[in-house]
Amino acid sequence: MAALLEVKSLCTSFFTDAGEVRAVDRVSFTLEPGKLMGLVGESGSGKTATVLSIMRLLPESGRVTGGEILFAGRDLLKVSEPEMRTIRGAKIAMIFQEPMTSLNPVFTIGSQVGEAIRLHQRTSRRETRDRVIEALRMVGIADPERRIGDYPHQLSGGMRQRVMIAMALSCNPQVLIADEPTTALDVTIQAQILELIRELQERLKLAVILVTHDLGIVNEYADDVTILYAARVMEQASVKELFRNPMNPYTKGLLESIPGIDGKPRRRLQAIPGAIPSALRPPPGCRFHPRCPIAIPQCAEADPPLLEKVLNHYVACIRV
Amino acid sequence: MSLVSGSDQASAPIAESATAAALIRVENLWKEFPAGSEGLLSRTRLTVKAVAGVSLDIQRGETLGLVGESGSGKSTLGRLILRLIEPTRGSVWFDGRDLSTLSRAGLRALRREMQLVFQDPYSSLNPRMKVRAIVGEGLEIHQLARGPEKEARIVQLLEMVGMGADAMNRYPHEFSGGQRQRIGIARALAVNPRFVVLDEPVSALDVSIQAQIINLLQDLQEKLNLTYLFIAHDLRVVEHISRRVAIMYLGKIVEIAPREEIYANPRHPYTRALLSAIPTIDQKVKSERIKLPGEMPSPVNPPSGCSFHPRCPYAEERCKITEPKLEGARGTHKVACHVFPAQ
Repeated sequence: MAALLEVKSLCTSFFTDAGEVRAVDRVSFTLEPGKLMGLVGESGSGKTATVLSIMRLLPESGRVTGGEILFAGRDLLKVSEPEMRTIRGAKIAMIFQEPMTSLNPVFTIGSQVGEAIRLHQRTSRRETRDRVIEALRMVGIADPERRIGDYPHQLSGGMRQRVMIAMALSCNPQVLIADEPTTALDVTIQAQILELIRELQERLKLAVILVTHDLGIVNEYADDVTILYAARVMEQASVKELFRNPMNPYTKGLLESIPGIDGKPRRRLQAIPGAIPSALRPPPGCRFHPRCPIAIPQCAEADPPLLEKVLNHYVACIRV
Repeated sequence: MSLVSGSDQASAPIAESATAAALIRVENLWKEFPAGSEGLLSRTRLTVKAVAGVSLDIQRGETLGLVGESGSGKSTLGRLILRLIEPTRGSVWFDGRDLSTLSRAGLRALRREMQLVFQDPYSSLNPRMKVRAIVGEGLEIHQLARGPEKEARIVQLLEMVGMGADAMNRYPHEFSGGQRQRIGIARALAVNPRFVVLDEPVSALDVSIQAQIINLLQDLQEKLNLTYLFIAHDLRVVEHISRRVAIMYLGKIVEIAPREEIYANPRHPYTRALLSAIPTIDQKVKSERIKLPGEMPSPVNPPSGCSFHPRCPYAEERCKITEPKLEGARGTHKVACHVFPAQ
C-alpha cells in the first residue's frame, strides 16, 4: 500500500548554550494507513524529537536541519504555518504521555473536546455537543452526557487519557501520534488504553506512530518497528520479523535485558554495560560501539549505513 | 576495613528472637490518613485506609517483592516498616524488637540498620551536596567514621556500587540516572544496614540500565547478607530478584507466595490480571488476557466484602459480603480469595 506519511532522512537539532545537539540524525520511515508503527528508544534516542518535528511543534531551541516529511505527497517542512494549522490536529493528531498536564484544569472536558472540534470545523453548539458525546462514547467513557461537565481533576489518569484520545480523534485524523501514552499509567489501565488505541486504529483505518520504550508493547500492539539509539535508526522491520530475528546488537541487548515472567531462576540479567552517550558529544562511528559486545576497531571509524539485510529488514551495523 | 565489621554488635542475636528466622515481622498493620470531611459542615471525618491490616514476615537474607498499582498502599507499607511514619495500629518487629516500644534513642540506633532507596534518583539526592557529603552524611550522623577513615569508607562504598573515587568531588547533576541510583545505593549502605527497602529503584531508569542496577543489588545482597523489601508496580521487575512476592490491592495483601509459585501458579484473579496485562516480548501468542474493567476504587470508601469484587470477572455473591482472609492451605502460598483459595 502507498505510504501516507514518509519521513526521509530527517535531521533535527537543538541549539543550546553548550552547542548543537543532534537529536534526530537521518531518520527515515514510512507509515501506511491502517498500520501501527512502534518508534522505540531510550531517553535521548530522539523518538520524541522525531514526532515533534513531524507535528512542527519543536520548542524554540529546536530546528529541523534536513530531510523531508511527506504527508499525502506534500512536504510538511515546506508548508506555511497557517496551512500547517489545518493539518495539525485535523489530519495528524497527537496524544502525550501526561494527560493531566495536557488538559486545561479550568475547563470541563466537554468544552475542551468541543474546542478541538470547532477549531477545525464549523459546527453549531448543538452539533458540537452531539459530536463530543459521540467521541467520548467511542473511547469507552460511560455515561458521556453526564461526564462532559466534569473537570480533568475529577477523572482518573486512565480516563484522562481516554479524553485525550477522544479529542485527538474528534476531527477524524488520518494519522495519530501517541507519545508514550501509557507510561504514566498502571499496568492494568495501560492494557485498557492500548487495546483501545489498537481497536480504534483498526476500525478507523488510522496510521499510528506509537512512541514507547517498551518492546513488550511493540511486540503485542505494533505492526512495524523502528529502533532508535542516540538519534540514529539502528534497526527497522516488521514486528514479526524483528522479534523472530533481531540483528542489531543493540536490539538484542535490549531484548535480553528484559526480565521474563516465567518465574524460572536465572543467575543474572544480561545488562548492556555503560551508559547512554551524551547527545552533545556522541561517540564517533557507530553510536553504540562503546557498549557493543561485538564491536571491532572499524566500528569507531564510520557511521554504519542502514542496509536491507533481509527482505524489508533494515539494520545499521557492519558486523551483521 | 571490612564492610560488615561495623554491624557486628548490632547483629548479635537478641534473646527472644534467637529462634525466629524472620528479620521483619509485621502484624495486623493499619495506616489511615485523614481525607477531609464528607461535606463542608459535616462532622463525619473521612479517612484513607492506605494500609488495612497487613501481616507478613521477611526472612533474613531474602528479597520480598511487593507489587501493587498506584494507590495500593505499597509505599506506605514500606515506610511503616521503616517507621518513617507511625501506624494507626498494629506492630512491626525488627529482629525480635517491637519498634513501637523503642525509645527515641533506641529507634535512632535502629534506623542505622534499616535503610531506604528511593525511586527517583533525580529528586532524592541533594543537588547542592557533593557525592562525598551525600554518601558520608550517614557515617557522620551515626558517628561511624571520621577523617581519613571516613574518606576511605566513602571510596570503598563508591567502588562497591561500581563507581570510581573521582565521583566524590562531583555533584549529582553530573551523573546519569543509573549512576545517581548507584550513589543512592551507596548512601543507603554507608551505615551497614541489615535491611533495605527498595522503593521502585529502577522504575525511573532506561531499560538497558535497569538490568545493571538489578544485578548490582543482587550482588550486594549476597556480599553483605542484606534483606530486601523490593517495591514495584510491575511484576516483571521483581521476578528476577525476589525469593517471594506479595501482591497488594487497596491496602491489603491479596496473595503472597514463593516466586516460582506466583508466576507459574497464580491464584488470585488480580494477580492473574496483573500478570496477563504485562506486554511480553514472547513470540508465542498470549492464550488469554484477563481484561479488568474499571479502575482501582477509592481507598476512602473501599467496596464491601472483597475489595476487588467490583472488577473481578469471577465475583460471586459472597464476595460482596464477606472479606476473604489471606490463607494458605499448606505452607507458603497464601491467597485472599473465596473463589480461588490456596491449593
